Amino acid sequence: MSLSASQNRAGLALIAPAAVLGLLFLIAPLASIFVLAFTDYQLGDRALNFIGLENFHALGDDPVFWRSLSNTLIYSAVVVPGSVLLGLISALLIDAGTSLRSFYRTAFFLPVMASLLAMAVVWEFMLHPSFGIVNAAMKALGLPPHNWLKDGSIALYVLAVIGIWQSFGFNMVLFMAGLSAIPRDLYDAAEMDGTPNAWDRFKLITWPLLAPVTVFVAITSVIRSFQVFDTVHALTQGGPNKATEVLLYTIYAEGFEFFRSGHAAAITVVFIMLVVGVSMLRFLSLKKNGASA
Amino acid sequence: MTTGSFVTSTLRHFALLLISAFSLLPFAVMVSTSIKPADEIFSDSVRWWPEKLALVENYSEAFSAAPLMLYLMNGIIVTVAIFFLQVLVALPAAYALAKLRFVGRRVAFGFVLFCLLIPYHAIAVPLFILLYFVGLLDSYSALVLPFTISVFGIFLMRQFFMGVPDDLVDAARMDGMSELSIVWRVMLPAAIPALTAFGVFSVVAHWNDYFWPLVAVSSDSYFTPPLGVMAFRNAEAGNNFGPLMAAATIIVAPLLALFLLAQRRFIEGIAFTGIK
Amino acid sequence: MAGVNIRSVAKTFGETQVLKRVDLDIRDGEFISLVGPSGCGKSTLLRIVAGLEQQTEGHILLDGKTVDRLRPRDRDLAMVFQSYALYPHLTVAENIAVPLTMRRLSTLDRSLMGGLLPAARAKRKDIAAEVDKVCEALSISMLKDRKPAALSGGQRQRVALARAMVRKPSAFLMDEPLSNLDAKMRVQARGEIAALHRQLGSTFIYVTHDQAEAMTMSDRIAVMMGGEILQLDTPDHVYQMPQDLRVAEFIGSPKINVVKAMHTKDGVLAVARGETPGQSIHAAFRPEAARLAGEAEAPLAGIIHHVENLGADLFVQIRLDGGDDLVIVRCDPAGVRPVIGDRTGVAIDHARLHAFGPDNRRIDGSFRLEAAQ
Repeated sequence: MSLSASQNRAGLALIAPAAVLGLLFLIAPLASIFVLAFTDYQLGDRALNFIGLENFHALGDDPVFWRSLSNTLIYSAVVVPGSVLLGLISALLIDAGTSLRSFYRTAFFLPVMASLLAMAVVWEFMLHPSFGIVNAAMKALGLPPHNWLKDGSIALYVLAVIGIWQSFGFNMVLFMAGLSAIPRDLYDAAEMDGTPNAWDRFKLITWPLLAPVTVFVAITSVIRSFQVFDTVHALTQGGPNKATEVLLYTIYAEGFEFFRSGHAAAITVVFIMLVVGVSMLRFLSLKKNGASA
Repeated sequence: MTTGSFVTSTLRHFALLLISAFSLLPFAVMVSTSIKPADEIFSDSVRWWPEKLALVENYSEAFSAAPLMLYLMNGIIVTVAIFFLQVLVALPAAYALAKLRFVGRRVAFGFVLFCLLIPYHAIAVPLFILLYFVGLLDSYSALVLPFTISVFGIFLMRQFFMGVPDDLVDAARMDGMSELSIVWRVMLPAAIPALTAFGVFSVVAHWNDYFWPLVAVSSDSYFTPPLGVMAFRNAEAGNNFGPLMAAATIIVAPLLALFLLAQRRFIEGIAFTGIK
Repeated sequence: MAGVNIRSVAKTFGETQVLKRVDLDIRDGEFISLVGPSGCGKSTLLRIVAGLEQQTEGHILLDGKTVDRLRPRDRDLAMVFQSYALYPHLTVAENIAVPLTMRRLSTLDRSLMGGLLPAARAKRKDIAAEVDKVCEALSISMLKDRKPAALSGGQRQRVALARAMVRKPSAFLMDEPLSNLDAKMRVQARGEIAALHRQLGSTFIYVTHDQAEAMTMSDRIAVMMGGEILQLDTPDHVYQMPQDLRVAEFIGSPKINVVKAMHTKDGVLAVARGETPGQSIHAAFRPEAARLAGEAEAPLAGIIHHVENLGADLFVQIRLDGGDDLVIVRCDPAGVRPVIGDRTGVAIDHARLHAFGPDNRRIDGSFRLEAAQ
């Protein structure tokens, strides 16, 4: 047997388990999403009944779906800038000095590690209208208290703050990795070239060299923010009055509470398009950076 | 030190302490409440350390009101099983993709890249139907099986293996190793740093995962830690915050303790897997 | 134009002393090399002169004035880095312009608004003209719009030089600027830097671990080891009259030959064998100060171990009797070819024989080396 034939056999054999499991647990389910979306399948049915685009027409007329989609985008529009900016500022501040670096890094990273669900329960207690620490602080500052999670006009933004709290440490770590990849020589050269202050050095070196990392962090944050679920399920159940209904929660409710699989699949198709669309941006940005480097 | 640098350093610490307060506040509230008696929790004044310590009461109530140890045990069983199976499946595949020429390699790698884009939430509905029909819902298998294939693990290890010199593989072949034993005896030891990073990623993700366990299991003997916290909260329904915070503390403690013990590895692992 | 004075500068990092009270006076317009093995403190010294590092003790004077408290941008020095430190996201022309824009344009000029200000536009035009001139001088005009990633090592090195030159600084600091080039490019670049120095007439402080670079370009060489300057002298003197055994061993390729000897009587050294009673002396001679000779007339003898033919020179390695010591002798390839395995004697030109005491310092005087007694 020739070498290449034996390599071929070995390669196929080694990849076989992954291929079988991938087909079973990734490819087939993904394909069936696109099939289910065109049926009125409900869990337990033994046969598929195709109904064409009816699910999508129904979605178009469904105010809950539109609410869910726009809430997801609003949530993302708050969490992404918030967590990217706070992550960047944290990384720059930590990197600017030598003392207490690891303390701050650990403190900011703790929320990333902790089970979000458990911490959501803690946040719920902190936001409690009568004996939560947040309202106690509002009172101390002479501000009116709020029923944070039951007030439809602010509940989504409260969840967004929890989202920022949970994810900025993750972004900070990525930014710090990006910062450490900038050669120290460049800062020395800038110093010799006469940059007058730290802000000019940031503009000349840090910001442009960090740009690819920033794009990457921002896109990753968008994708993660689309997947918000734990806090919604634990704290608001999409309410009050659909004010915090987000895509993943709608999919969950349709698919696993009402078992309307076909309907859930149609929403999932929208969800997948969103995520894949944003991922394509990331792919393009990587490609652009790769080509110029 | 000049006065200028003293001022900058003070400002730096001030800003960082402010951010620390934001990030640590929930942990402080959680631990502080978990050792307070009920009357102090409901009092108007904010106090971090209780006048009367209720540590024993709250924690023993937490342990007696719900089988927390069982939930923690389930968490360990599930995360360990997932990681072990992921490595078992991903490592040979990653090696094949990185070092072997075989028919369909490009297609296979294309599938890996494509599947990287899909969050597992998106395929939860069909997975649920699949497990329903084979009768595996509400079992350890339901918690573990869907995650045995990790395209992320394959991708990460493949990238790492690309950096392992071909000479090393050829030398192993000259020494008479089969391709499978190259995977476990040559590539695995070389890949320890990448594998650690992936391990951190996998364990953290599945210990904290809430969506899939919520969907896949319903009897409380299979509850993972996050489900346990929710069950506890729903059962207590009312305002029994002391034991609830104690339960939350117990649930987050193991991972946070591991993290504090090996912070560097954790942070590097997450940074490493984050930049994929 | 400025002279540079280094006055008992010391530097400690935590516990380790990197520089031990170094004194060095560099004349205006001089090309001086700091040479030594890695870790000897030469780069630290250069960075202290630049102001990138703060000395623990001592002073730096530029043009007679203390600059210890001045930031790098106020010291009027330019530096070429080993990695070139080009800004990867800027074009060649933009890279070269940075030292000028940072000094001449105010923050307002550099902002987006700057394009609207006539004064700023005029300044930018001047800067562009100066960048053009420098590019022309270094013949990199055709590279002006490229990014550093699209340049070869040699081209990057020129851009780094141009960025240093464009400001007409009073002194140039160079930190191993050629070590990322291949051997052939390095020889060419040596000539170019030396020519540049003659043409600009500025002070150059050049850090390198490569003794050949130091020898070929400098007016004077400071050989550093263990945080101090062992010898400061012209290349000729450093080579011919090393003041320290470590200097003698560092400078010159192949390395100088060293044999242990005993002081017998005035001016006579006897080769020592094995353990020596009392304190021994190191007798040292360069390969070209020795020749192959009959065993009877030579102080050293042994077996020919290896012959290296470099074309222009023939270096013969001889394993000396009574030990594993090797000495190297340069021969004329046109002469009789030595045969590996043959016995031979090694005769020494005593005018070029150096003696170093147990403390490694040179012992002055003229010596003869005689065979072991």
